[in-house]
Amino acid sequence: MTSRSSGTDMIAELVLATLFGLLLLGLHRKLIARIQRRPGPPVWQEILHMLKFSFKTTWIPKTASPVLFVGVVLIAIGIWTAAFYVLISGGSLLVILGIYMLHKIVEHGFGLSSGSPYGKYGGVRSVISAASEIPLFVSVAVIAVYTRSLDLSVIMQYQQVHGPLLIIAFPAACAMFLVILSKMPFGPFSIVEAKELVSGYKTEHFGIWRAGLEICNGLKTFVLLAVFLAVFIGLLSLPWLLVGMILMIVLLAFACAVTPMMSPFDSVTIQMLVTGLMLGYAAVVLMVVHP
Amino acid sequence: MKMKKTTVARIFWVGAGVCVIASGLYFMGMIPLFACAALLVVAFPVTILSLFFSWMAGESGGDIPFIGY
Repeated sequence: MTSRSSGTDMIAELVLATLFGLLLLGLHRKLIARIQRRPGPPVWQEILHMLKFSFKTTWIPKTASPVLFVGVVLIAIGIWTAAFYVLISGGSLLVILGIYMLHKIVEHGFGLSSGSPYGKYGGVRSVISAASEIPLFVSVAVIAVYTRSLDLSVIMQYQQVHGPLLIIAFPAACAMFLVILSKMPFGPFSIVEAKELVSGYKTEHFGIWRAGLEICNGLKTFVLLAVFLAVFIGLLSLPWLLVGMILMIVLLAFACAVTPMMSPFDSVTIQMLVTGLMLGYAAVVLMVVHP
Repeated sequence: MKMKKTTVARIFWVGAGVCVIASGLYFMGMIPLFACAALLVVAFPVTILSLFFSWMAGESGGDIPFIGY
């Protein structure tokens, strides 16, 4: 992931990462369905979804703010494209952390731009669900204590010498896993996509706008899983990276399939409890590693 | 507001051109990675959406939106 790409690779990697991310989301849906004893859609369903929406008639609702309505779709794809390049260049974890937070603002923008009450409630919930990012701050702090850097390339080099941070800082890995779980569809913390809000913040984004959002979701899934593996396992060759991502999707699918969706209040409470535990763990790590 | 098929097709070709030129300049070492990535961050979303629009624009007059019961 740290090697410099050639010119054509820059675009090809981006497109392939998006398609693989969509495939992973399809696998996620399929696994949840099979665990719940349903046949489920084919694994490539999310790619078909993206293509299907791209052929749908598209317009901007009368109640929408047109600039924001269209702009958030472009921004959503843009920020995850940026995250992808930060990842492959071994850049700063802080930038990726910032993009995770920015995504919540973008979700909020999606909800508010349409003028639909469902979208607005979805947008408000995405702000509430920003609580899920707080365990991430603590995870990142623990990583910084061990590696003395937040550059992905340095974190990966550290693990080549000292072994995977998954073993050294297992609670931090669990907290970051929880953050990824909160961003997956059909999960216990997916309060932004609860059925009482129809499709939540994306209710009014249909047709080509939804196809753009699907592309964003594919890229987001790829980046989330690849960053986790880079931070807690280290530098992996491409086949092992893909195997690692599939294994992570299997774990996430099990967690999503066997856990009911929580109410917004319970979701935030659990995430704050995890943050409290992680703060205690970070304090212990700080005292042990740098007494 | 309706966009013509030819207009969105032009936007697509401009976006795709920016992507290819930025990647090419990076490959030749004329621009650093962050500059190439910055151009792609801007051009990639525009290219994708205009590609979708280019195969849909001007094909139909649009459906009647659902306005409730």
